[in-house]
Amino acid sequence: MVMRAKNNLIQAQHSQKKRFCSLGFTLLEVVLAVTIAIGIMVIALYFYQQSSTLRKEALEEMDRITAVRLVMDRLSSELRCAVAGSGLLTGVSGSASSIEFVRLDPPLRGGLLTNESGELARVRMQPTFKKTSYRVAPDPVGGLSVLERVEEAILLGPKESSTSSSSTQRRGESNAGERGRRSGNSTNSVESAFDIPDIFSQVSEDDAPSSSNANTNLLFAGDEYWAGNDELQQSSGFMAMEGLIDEGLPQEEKIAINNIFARGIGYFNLRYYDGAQWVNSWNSKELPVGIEIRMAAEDPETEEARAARQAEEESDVFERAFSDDGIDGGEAFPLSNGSQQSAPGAMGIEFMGQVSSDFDTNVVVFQRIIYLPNARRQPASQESSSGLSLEPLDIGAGTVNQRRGR
Amino acid sequence: MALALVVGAFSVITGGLQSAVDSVERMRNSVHGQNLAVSLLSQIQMGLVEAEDVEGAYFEAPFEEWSYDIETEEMQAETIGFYSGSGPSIPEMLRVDVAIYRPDGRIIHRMSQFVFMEYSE
Repeated sequence: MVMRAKNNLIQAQHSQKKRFCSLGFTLLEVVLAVTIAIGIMVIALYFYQQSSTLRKEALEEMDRITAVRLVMDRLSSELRCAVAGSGLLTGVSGSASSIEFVRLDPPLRGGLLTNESGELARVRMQPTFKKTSYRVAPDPVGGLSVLERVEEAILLGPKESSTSSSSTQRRGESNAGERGRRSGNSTNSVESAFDIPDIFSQVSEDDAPSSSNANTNLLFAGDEYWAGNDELQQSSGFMAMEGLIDEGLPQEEKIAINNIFARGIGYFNLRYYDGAQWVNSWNSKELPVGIEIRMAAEDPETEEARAARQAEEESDVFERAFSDDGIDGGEAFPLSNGSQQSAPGAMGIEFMGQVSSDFDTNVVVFQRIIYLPNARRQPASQESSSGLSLEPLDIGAGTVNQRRGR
Repeated sequence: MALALVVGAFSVITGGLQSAVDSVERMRNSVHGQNLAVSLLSQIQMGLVEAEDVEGAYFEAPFEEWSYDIETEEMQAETIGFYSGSGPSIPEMLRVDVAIYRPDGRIIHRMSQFVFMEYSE
């Protein structure tokens, strides 16, 4: 009896020990569990890292695309307002990586303008000419290149040779009086159309400056649109620019807006269409008929292509520097004046096919061709001959030559 | 159960990321489409592309998979208020519609513009 009880006790202890043993994990199980946990953690971390990288890249790409769209739209709208220059100011001066042009803003509405003291400024209804330039520059805070945009208002008004008092007095004269004085002037129609009395003001026929007059600072005389060359002059008189009218501002204090327009743009390439072919640079009073803009986050050009292009540009600069004609294009339509010819027959998007072999295809290049409506186009009948005519198109009479846009 | 939850979570996150990537791709295609439409209209105005009805034409490389349609309609400038002069003749205009198609054939951008037609003596 005692023996049986003892055996039962031993069996119970044994089974209890067995039960305790079965509740734990073997070393193998623990190692396996830890390995699986680590594996899942590694996969999760890798997945997290990949997804965060992907998210970051997607956001950066969206920023770049937004920047490209912004630049394209802004540059397009500004180039469409570009106007031809005069003898002293180049209309469009551009290379493959930068461009400078003069554009015309619509006349300001005086009701919205106040001076620094908050008073309503005296209204001078005039269009505003602005010299605008775009170029790629190194990012000052490191990283990729940035697209820099500089905008500078061009001052128009009485000529420098006038005395300041008479200048001021003249500036204060009523527009009606000025209009009356200029009656019979060929600019009247332009004035009435644009309501821009001050541009053509204060210069009587006797005061008309000669080309040798040192005080004469002609800014614009691009075409018949802006009347005589001697009536648009640089001045220390007044400035009208986006909400600011400040009369008497010294010339050296004129306002220029210089800012980084877009970040993350490592490639900014321009080509100019002169009416017959695409060229890589432009330096002339006349406007190109069209401008092609290419932009990308990185430079898609291969090393060889970039070296070839740079060598070509350097040789072009050398040729221009030592040419008899100098940089300015003079009177001729700018086929050979400061322009660098690209491959013959190259035309816009079609040309991309030819140069795409020189590009890294992994880089997304955005491309747009912009038509400049203020450029003078020769009529199609003259285009095929030698015809580099500067005559504007006659759209008043005649028959349709061919279905071609203008 | 845990594994199923993990896989499910991964699927949801992957779906979200894929959606983000797709939206970037759509945005990029939209910009390409807009640029191509503006370029095509500019080329028509520059005289590099004839302003005539075209259907299903393809661009050159690198946009060789993109296609476009051009629709034109002649109209008098006076009728749409673009001209109020009293000259010997009223300038004729073209209304040019361009539609840009993605490589998968879906339309991505449509743009329309009035273009003056050239006259010669």
